[in-house]
Amino acid sequence: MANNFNNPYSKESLAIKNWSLIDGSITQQSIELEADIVIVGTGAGGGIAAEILSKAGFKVIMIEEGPLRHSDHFNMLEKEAYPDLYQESAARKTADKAISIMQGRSVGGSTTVNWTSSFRTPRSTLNHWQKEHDVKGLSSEQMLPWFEWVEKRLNIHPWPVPPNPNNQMLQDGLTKLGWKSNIIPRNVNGCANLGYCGTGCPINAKQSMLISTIPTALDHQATLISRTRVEKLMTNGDKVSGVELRFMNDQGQLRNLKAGKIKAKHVILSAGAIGTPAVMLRSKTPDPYNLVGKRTFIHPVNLTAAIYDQTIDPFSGAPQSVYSDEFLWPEDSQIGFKLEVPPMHPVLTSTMINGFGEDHAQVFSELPKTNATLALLRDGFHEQSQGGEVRLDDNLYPVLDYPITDLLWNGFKKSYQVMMEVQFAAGAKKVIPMHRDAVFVDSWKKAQQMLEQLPMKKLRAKIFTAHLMGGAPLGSDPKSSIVGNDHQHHQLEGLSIMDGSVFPTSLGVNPQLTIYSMSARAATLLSEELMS
Amino acid sequence: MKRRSLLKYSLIAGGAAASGALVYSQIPYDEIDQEITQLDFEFFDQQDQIVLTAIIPIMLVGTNQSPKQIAQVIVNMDQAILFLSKQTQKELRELFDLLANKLGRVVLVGIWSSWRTANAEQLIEFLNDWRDSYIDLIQIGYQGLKQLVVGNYYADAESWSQIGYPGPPKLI
Repeated sequence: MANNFNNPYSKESLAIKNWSLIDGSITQQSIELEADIVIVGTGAGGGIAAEILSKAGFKVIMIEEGPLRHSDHFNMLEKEAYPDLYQESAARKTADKAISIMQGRSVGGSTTVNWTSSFRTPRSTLNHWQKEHDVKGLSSEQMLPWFEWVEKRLNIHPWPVPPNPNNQMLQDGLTKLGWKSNIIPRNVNGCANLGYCGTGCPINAKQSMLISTIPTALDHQATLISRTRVEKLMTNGDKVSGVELRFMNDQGQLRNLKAGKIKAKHVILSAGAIGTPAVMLRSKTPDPYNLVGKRTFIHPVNLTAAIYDQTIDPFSGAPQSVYSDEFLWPEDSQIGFKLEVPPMHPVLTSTMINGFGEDHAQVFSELPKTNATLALLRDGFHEQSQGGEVRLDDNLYPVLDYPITDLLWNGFKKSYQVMMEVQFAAGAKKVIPMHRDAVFVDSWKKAQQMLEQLPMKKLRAKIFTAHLMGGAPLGSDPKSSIVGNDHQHHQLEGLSIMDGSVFPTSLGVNPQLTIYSMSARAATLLSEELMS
Repeated sequence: MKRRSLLKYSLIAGGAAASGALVYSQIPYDEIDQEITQLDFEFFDQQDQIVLTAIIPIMLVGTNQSPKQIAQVIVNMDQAILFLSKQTQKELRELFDLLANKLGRVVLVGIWSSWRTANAEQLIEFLNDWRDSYIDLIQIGYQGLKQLVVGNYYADAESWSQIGYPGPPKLI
């Protein structure tokens, strides 16, 4: 057999498997199907649910708005990966353009392109949900078996290989300053330390939904319909009876062809914290307390870059292997943040460097000696952090409004400061906050002086998110939640939500393991209920 | 104002770009046009292409850009835009219509002559003004243009040697 890295979707593999696959971008036939369970979205939530429910014997149909792409396509080129594998070609932004949104959109969702960081939900977060958001059944102790099940299923383990220099700089700086750092657990098996998780793993080492749970579901008679969007839920009284579909073309735009519908006993929304509220808003699902799409959290991210004497090659090696929670749970009333690093590849990095012309080219020419550090802010835990809102534009397409409050600006200012201090401690020659009015400075003192002057304003500071959460929160009280502790809709029968949109706040850690574990629990509960 | 003092600093940096731009004070429009005629576009019309052939060489001063690459950047941008949401495409259409429109060019860009007769200093001044504008929409216009131009230039392997990027590793 040719070396296709055990690709479950290779021609040879598909020839013997008899999987049920439909591509909405090329089909000429309208769909009229029936299923026990329709799962909308194939990311962390939908992927896990699909495996558990199809193995339990239910007829499952998975619907994914992105294309089916796999390691035969994953050539590590940003130019091809972004349009293929990301929402809006990795250029999605908030409505005011102040925040860039990195979100996956292909079979496997963001798990196909994420950087593999796999953290259990912090105990403090689960406690906060219990205390402040009336969440039950999700304590650390109750979640433990689900964490353990997922960790085993996806081979999640602390990265045993030495961090790449980009991550090493973070660890070195933190250590010099007496701050704690740890090694990140990753969902990989046979990882070759290439550094291209973000363009789809070319060797199927990353245990994404694409190569783990979705193939299992397909082996258990599930159907996968890609390049197809759920336009609306169908209802019969207060019971969900199925979904109406729209086909997408190969540029991710709606096709005019009538796509049809699927009747189902149960529908699970797993379209992520932008897509799931969008389906509910288009369907005008009951929302007596006006909660749908509200309190959307994003772990807003700011960054600093540093140039060293030695070679860093920040595009090479496992993208994230070191983190620090030193500032995640501050004792004062300020917002906490987690420290990690981003990998740096040409396209995305080029858009992040200030200015144009020679200034831009000169800074970029130092890429091999550049390290970047990021802070992700733990939003949603404070009075002054109520998150954003997903709404529909004139084309019934979702957009996110996310106001940046003073609490968040103070958090950014503090994290800029901490990150630059860490980079200088690690031996950086010069450092810059990723802010449009900033310049490189060669000392920690000058960095502090500059920070005093930098306007903490949208469109000046460069803010990012790769974690979409909230908008359909879970909890016991229908006045403050959309779904119950079992992930089932409070008002509509036959509807569950299994994705990051059920989080009542952000997490303070990269979300994939939380989504996997909560969805594993929810899908198992649902399976038991539907069996009885 | 605090921001002013920082802007002063970036103006000095802008000055460096201005001197470098002299390399391209004569943008080779004929050669770029020749490359462009061999390519197909879906989003950009001829007016947009005229705007872009003036802006792109200025944004890419300091790189080893060639007329062929400049044309390729326009094609890459054209293709990339088709993947954006309908709303974002509409906003970009408005931006390019504004830039191609005579009144827009004079009032918002500050270039009285045609795009093709504007010199490098005028084009740099326009980009700097937009970058540092106090009007959000203008800043957004600059940021959108800049991201599209540099992102689509560094998307192709020809650009990588300048930034010390070896390209993806070879898989055995």
